[in-house]
Amino acid sequence: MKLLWGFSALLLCCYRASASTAGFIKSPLSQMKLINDSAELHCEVIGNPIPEVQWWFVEGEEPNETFTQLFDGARDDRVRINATYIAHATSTIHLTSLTLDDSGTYECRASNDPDRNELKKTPKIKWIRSQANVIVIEMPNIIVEPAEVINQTSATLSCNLTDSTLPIKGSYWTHNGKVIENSKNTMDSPHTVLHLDKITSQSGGKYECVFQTDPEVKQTIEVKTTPHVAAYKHSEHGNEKDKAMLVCVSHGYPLPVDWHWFKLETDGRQKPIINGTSDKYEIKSTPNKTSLIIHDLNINEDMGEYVCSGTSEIGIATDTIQLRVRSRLAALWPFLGIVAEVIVLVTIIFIYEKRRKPDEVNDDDDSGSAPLKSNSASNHKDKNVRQRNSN
Amino acid sequence: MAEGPDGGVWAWVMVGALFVSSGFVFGLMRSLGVFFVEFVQYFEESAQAISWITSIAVAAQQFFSPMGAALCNAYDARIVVMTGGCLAGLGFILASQATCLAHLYLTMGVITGLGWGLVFTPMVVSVMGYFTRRSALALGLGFSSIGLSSFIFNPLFQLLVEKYAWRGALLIMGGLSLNIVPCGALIRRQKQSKAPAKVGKLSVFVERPFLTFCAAITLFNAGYFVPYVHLVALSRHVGFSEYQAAFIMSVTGATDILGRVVSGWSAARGCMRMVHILILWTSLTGVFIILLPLSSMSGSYPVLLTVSLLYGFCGGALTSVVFPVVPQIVGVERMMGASGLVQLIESIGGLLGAPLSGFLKDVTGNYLASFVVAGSFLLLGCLILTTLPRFFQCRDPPPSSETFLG
Repeated sequence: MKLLWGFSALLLCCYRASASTAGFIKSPLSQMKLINDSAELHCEVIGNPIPEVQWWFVEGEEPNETFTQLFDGARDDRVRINATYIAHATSTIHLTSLTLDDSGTYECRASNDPDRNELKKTPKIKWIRSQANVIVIEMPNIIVEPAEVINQTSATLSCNLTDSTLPIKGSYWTHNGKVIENSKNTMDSPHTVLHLDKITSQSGGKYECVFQTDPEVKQTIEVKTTPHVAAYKHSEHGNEKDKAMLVCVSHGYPLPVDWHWFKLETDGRQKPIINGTSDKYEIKSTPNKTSLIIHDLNINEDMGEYVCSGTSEIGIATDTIQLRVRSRLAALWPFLGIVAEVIVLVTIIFIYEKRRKPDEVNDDDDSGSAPLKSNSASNHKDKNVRQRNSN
Repeated sequence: MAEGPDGGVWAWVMVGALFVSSGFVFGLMRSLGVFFVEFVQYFEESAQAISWITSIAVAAQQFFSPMGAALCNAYDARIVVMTGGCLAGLGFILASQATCLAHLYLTMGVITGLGWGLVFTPMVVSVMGYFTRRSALALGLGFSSIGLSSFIFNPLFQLLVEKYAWRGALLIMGGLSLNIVPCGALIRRQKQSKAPAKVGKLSVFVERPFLTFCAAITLFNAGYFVPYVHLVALSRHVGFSEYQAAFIMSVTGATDILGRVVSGWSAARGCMRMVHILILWTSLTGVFIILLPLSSMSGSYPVLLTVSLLYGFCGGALTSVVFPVVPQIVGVERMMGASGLVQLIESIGGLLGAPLSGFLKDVTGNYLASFVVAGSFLLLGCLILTTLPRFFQCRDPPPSSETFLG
């Protein structure tokens, strides 16, 4: 009998030596989130064999707690579970589009007991658990003043964080996503102010006041200005029969949604639209840049002033470009003049040479004549002298 | 001492011709940047694709130099230069009608570059034929137009582009390039022996002195251009404004002109051997190139400006004495062919130098390494030159038809 006990104990030891119970190396962390935000809980467990990890949602108070298991795709696909079982077990649960009902205790359960899913046995004995609280709160009310800045030369933006018990570590402002350097402060005041002394088209955009709470809360104030439209080059040149490209760019917020081009006649305005005379005009527009391409330039018709006009919800801005069309032959006259000058010079040089040294070189036309042998005779002396003085 | 021609009325007329033709070759080469913006916009191509136009033209000029030299030996320098002038002009004239980028590569790049190759070396050698002791001075004066013409051509071409659009401007530039033809017409039949119509110019390759010289010149070329390419960037890197940086370049260009003339004039005095003068100016240039990033690190604008001025002066000075050394190494008869070959070989240095320094800047994050390496190339080239035979003699070898070859 004792031998049997001893043998069983030995067997048990051997069995246990290669097995180990599950244990947490990382537990999920409690967090506070705003509605519509997303949360992530992470859990890592070691054990041999590799433990299985499950996620459960706990509602109610002890002893009347209700447990609901969470699967990938639960809660209308707002729950995603990502698990790996290599060397040890890891599992991450993602909750997106949080609602107030998502608040509660989340439990990471793990077990490597082969009997863990047996319905006849009590689950609590064989699973280890680790809990984290997720609290979803409503967005605290941030009162902004003013709600929107439209077409003003200066403004003072202020944010007031009301309705919140969260501790405030500081605040700062961003402009179009970039943090404004001087706006950082570490006071715990729920009230913050930003001064805009001179509002130009550059300073328009989306301003955000951000309060450094946990979680961070922020609100946006839009500063809208009339668009600023400027031509790339105010004076453009084109060659006859060639094409010309007139470009206008715009800055500001909001950017123009509509671009129009006009040709300035002596009386009023005329509109070139893409659909109108499609072969001649081509308009390519993006919110911050528009270009008018005129094909097959004609000196009489196409020369003149063109107006680009950008329209946004706030207003309209325009700029003018002067187009000059050069006759294709315009450069020909200076060119012919220069060629004539070159021919005259060359002729003079040849004539001069012919008159001064008629016994040496004969007339050279354009493509070389062979050197005259008569030269070498008169120049032998020079040649020898030259060769000796080779420095 | 020197019994050969060393001046004379026609010699100085030739210097004038060299002045004009160098201006139209290198001055134009350095002013092509004006068209850069126009081409990028018109052809809607990348900056790199457009830059190839100038690269091809420069490479063609150097590559075809030996051919130009050989043609001069075989035929008549005058015909070669006049043809070169016509080709250079033709390149631009055809380019004005280009409808795609490839046309520009072919016309402004290859044809014009070929024309320039047929012009430059023959002109230089023809001028040197009229001088012995004062060849450096003649070349210095002749080359002084290079700096001057980029001053003049840059704003001039900008104006032409405004008035006539790039097509008209290129047409007019073609006409202007034709002015090289009268310069070529001024070349008189030189009293050189026709014996080297043997294509024996390649025989210089097996001679150690020539190879030594080529190696040294290639190293010079690798380092010499680095400041022209990177000095503006270096100035802006340490915080100076665009205008301050541009001013440094203008001033460097001005002292370059001065250096060429002064060096040419002083070399003509004959107090020092040409090779020694070359080493003097080149080593000074190397030293100043190394000092450039160091002076910029001091943060003081006057200091950087001063070092740049000195670099410009010494850099220009060395160009006046490079070609006069060639006949001392290979003999007068082979001067033409050798000069052409030197151009070709040194182009390798030029091709590799700027990208290498750019690479060093990318790797190290600042320009210190680039400039130090560039300056070292120049100093290394000087060291190589000291291995030329009979280098340490105080006087040039006695007048004989043999030279360094012993």
